[in-house]
Amino acid sequence: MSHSRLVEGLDSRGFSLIEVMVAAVIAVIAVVGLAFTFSSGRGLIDRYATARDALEAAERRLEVLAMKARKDPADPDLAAGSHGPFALTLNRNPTGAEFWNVAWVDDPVDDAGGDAEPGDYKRVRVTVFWSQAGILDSMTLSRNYLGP
Amino acid sequence: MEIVIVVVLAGIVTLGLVGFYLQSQSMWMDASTQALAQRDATGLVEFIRSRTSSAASALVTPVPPDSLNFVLTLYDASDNETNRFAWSATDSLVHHVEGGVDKGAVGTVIVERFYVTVDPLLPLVNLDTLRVRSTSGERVKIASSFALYNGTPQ
Repeated sequence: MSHSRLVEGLDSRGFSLIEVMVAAVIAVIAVVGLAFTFSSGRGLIDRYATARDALEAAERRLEVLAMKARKDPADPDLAAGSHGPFALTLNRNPTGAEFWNVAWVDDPVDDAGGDAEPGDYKRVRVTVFWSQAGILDSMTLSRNYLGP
Repeated sequence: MEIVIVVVLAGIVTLGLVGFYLQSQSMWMDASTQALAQRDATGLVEFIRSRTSSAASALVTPVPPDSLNFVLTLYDASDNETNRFAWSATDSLVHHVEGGVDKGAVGTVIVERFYVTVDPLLPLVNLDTLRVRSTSGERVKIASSFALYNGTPQ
């Protein structure tokens, strides 16, 4: 008795072709969405490969300027103002470039009684920028150097 | 007729799902191994930087047979060797040698190019090319410079 009730309760019509096609379309859309997330993740890894090289390029410029500041604080590369941009290749990406700005900074510690020379040290800001997949990206590092 | 269409559609969707799974696994492997290679490359660069900053001078010597890779030797102010970073043709890894003892490879990623030059006037060590290859074949390139802060500019 219970068996026959179960059989009567089942929907013997099944799925129609339209229902199956709609389900298939939804499944395909979901799979394409998932595939897009994977390719986005891959793109992010590539982006950070370039960003790591950009970070090292900025570090490189700061190290070079640090030694130039020690050798000759009046080096033209350390003159106040903007320097560049200069082209860079970052992790085989030829769209990179770097520029740096040098600005005098007044340290308030010697301001008491009037500061005849407010330029106490130089702040160098190195910016590296590049384009990847049509998106402009950049990175900036700064460091202070003693002035002449 | 309907059952045939349903079977065909189910087959297409199944094939798509299998293809997607294989493709995503491949992409996942490529991406993760590349991320590991990038991490190892950055780790190697920063490790060299940490040792170079306390050195006074440096010397680079090419590694035979092609001289495309180098050994970087760091010295203190008394001209005593402090650290050495040697690209090994045996395992294509950069080994750290301290006190004459090989401390082993820095990282596990294959280093295809370790091209280093020294600017004795500033003084500065230029890592012109560090190119590493992930296990899935992806290549990552990094370049940097390291100041010899205990050196004397000339």
